[in-house]
Amino acid sequence: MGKTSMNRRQLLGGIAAAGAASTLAAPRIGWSQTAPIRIGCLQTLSGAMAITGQSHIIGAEIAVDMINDAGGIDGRPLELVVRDTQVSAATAVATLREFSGSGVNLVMGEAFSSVNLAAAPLLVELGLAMASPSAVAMELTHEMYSPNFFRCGPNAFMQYNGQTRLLAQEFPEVRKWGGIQTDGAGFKSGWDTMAAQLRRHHKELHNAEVQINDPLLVKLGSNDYRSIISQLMGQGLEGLIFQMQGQDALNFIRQAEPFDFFRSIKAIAANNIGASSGTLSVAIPDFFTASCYWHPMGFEGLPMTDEFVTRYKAKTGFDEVDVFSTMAHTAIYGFAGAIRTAGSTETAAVVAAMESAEFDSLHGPLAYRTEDHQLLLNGGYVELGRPASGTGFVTKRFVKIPYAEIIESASPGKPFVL
Amino acid sequence: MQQFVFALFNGLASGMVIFLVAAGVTLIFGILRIVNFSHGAFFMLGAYAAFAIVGDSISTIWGLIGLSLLVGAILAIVGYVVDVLVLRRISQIDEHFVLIGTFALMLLVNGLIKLWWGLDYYFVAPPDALNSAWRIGGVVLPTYSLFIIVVGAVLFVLLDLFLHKMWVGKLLRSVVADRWMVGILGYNVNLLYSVTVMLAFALAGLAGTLLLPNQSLSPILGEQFLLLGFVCCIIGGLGNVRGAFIAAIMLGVVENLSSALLNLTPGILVYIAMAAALLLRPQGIFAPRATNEMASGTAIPPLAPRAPLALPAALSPDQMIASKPDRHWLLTAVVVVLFVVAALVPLFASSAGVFIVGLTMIEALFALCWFFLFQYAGVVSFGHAAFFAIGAYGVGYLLKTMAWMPFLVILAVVAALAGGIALIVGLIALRRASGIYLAILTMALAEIFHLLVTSSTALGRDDGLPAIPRPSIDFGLFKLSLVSNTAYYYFILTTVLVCGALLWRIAHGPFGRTLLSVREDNVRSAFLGIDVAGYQRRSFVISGAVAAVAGGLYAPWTQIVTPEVTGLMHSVQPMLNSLLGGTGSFFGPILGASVFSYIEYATRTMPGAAEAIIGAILLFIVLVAPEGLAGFLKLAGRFGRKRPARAQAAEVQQGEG
Repeated sequence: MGKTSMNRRQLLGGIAAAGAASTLAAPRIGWSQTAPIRIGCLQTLSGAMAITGQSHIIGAEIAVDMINDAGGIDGRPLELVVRDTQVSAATAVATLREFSGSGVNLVMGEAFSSVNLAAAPLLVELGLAMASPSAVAMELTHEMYSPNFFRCGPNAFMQYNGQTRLLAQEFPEVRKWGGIQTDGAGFKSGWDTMAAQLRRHHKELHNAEVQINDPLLVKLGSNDYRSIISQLMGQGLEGLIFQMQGQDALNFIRQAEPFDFFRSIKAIAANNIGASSGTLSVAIPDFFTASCYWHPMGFEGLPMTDEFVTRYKAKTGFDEVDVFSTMAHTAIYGFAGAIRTAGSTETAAVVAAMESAEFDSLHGPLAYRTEDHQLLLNGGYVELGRPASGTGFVTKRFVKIPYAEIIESASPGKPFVL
Repeated sequence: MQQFVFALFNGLASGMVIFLVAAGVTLIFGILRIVNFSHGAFFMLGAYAAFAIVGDSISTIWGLIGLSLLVGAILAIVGYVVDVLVLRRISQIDEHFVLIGTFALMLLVNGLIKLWWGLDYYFVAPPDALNSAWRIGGVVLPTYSLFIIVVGAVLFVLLDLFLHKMWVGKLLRSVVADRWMVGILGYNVNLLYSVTVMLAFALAGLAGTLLLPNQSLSPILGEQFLLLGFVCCIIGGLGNVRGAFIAAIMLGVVENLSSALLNLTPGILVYIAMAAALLLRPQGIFAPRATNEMASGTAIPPLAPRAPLALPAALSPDQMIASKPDRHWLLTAVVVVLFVVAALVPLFASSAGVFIVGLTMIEALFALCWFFLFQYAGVVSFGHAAFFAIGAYGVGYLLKTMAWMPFLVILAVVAALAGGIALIVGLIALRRASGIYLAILTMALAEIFHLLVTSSTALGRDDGLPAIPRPSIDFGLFKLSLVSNTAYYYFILTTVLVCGALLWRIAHGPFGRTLLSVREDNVRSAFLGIDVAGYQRRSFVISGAVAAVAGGLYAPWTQIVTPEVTGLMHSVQPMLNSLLGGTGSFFGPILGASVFSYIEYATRTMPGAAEAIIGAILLFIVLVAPEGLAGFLKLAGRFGRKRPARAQAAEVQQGEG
């Protein structure tokens, strides 16, 4: 009897110990001058928004390869630790705790604003520094400002202010707007900015009022847009504000095609699709104008451009560079520059360096605005069109917009007012 | 006017889509009396199988029809295997375990699909002839929607003819009417059941293929359509094919008109209709009263309200550890060890480990309150996440907007709020429904709550409530700060211990024993003067309030609350934990939550793996070991006790000798 009990206890104890050891044990910090510098990557790699996350990871991997091929940072290679959030803020927050507990203190953030809004308030407590490439919600650098959060792409105001001005210039006759918006913080921020700036620019340029209907809201990952398409067709729109991304955007376009929905639309003010033309399974309609942070047409002659484009083509097999990959590339180069400047990977030192030092990028030398950690960069917008055959898009032109000149003033901790 | 006509047309098409999925669900229930939660997963499997065969485009209409027949045949074979291995076995046990068994099957199939095809979205282009639109008086009608309407109508007519005019169909109907007599006449009843399952699975395969070009293909496809399919089965009357058809059309049209013309929250009307149907006419709107013939176009009457539960033999009262706690020394020891380990976790674990153990304790408390309701009151709730969410959102909102309010008061407020809502739900639902109808009703109510949360700007819509601060508790003489991870962790541990002890005390006191008698035989209990409905209602209130406390602990721990906590998957989480740990023991849910948490963490980088593993384990448990992991420990405990008993007997024998 005694022996039996002892064995059972030993067994249970063994199971408990094994479980505890494999899941819970604090990381043992092994440190050397050649140990890789690990950078966490929170991205949506599955589900409706997977194509945007995958684009980010491609850009981040190219950046890591370029840095490592050049000898790393003081001899230490970079290494990505990639985690899939599935656009879930709760998953992202749990993953940040995992990063914090396993010694990964530098994190490239999610593309989606809602996930970043959930993560930003925890960064200081968890000892993490985060740079997010494509989150546009104004709150991130205003009322939800965190000292450890950096936005390495344009915010909604920068991105859509210039785009709507160009639309007002080039489509002055388009006065009746409406559209569709995914329910979420970043998309709402985008819609609000687009609507407000369209009104302002039409007033300034043409002294004309534009009608902008309320957005029709859809849930992330929706499957059936036919009813929404019917409602939009009933509105008799001339211009479409299209605040959707990823597979949702493609699904909408696919379902709208049989309705000939886009035939009556003269201009489309869209988010960036977030994928290379080669990955798309539908043809993008004409007059599809989308914000675009970077395009080879606008940044020719810069030292990194050719190398990045060559590596991108080799890695993906696609000719058309996806802009989301370029923003992730910028995020990694931002961290690399800060680590070099600080001579350390400690969070506080990296944050201090990011606030003050310039770093090299696909845009040339860049720097974060010290007050609110908004990256000061130039960007633009692209006009896409339907290819002669097949799916995807053709880029008709790229218009460069000096984002840094039209940026709002910094007010960390305070709401942005349009 | 054009918009109205289009909404009507689109509603008709949506209704046909729902019917295609619902037909199989209602057929299986009609003949086998099994509510098959896994039907959506097999419908999705059909779509993936078609995608695997054909790739990203289908060239002709006949190609599409041929493909759907092929996939239907494949799924029919899968159906036969599932019937022999699973459905035939679980149809012999308690109806709640049938629900849980088919849910486990759904998890397993969903997980395997994710492991095989990943989580990406795929598109399949329809044949060119169906990839256009007709214009009639300014109204644009997509050709594929027209195709779906025609196919749905043809399938309904064929199914109806099969059930009413063909020999096999008539035989199936006779099995429903009198299985024993059909057997006596020399027919193989099991084979007839298998034919039904194969037919239902073939319909799932057909539907999956035909709907493939209609929308994107992703692992959430089954879940999306399953709920809608259930709704129309409930409204039409479970087991009533004609009713399901009419209900599907009605739902499609009403939903499209309401969202297009009235701008209502999409989907909410569907669940309101489902809840209303369950409460007012659970036998289905289209079922004539006092009939009992499924396939003649009428519905099977609902199970008798508050029918006594026939628990599997393994859970008979004399075997229940709950009533004989002395038998459970080993399991109790394991749980004590778990709590001791939990108390020591902050001393040796990383912050991520501490976080996971904290979450596990919260889920364990959530599972305990669900288990209390299930095991002692005999009530199965598929909507308990709503109570958890009231606590989580309530605490999150109050901590963000009314930080001056003492934290313990906030917890009490959300518990009282959830208890109050549970009381109202109990007053209405427990009086009107029981068994699986109550389970589905709670699911519908939780879905309504989920839709309300996601349309509430104050609660952050789909983004949820981020940046929830951690509180402090002011005791007057001193202030206990719970801001740090460690402090809040111990607060969770203490609260879980207190709530768990309270539930244990209630379950093992006079109240719990009375509940057990109600669960075992509510008619006899009523004869003995026990207020059966009152006891069930009170247990519902207690369970709801404790679920809210668990949610209240969750919000400051994760510092974010998202609509995921209100979803169906979170509603079934306590059920999975209880089953995994073992329903034969009060502490089973704690063990289940710990094991579940470990599996989820270990497989976190392999989407679908956790679902597949947990689905397989649960299926095994339901089919082979209904007492779960705790049952194994209990057996081990008995094994350990037998030796001294035998030794004692030997001593007695020796003495006598």
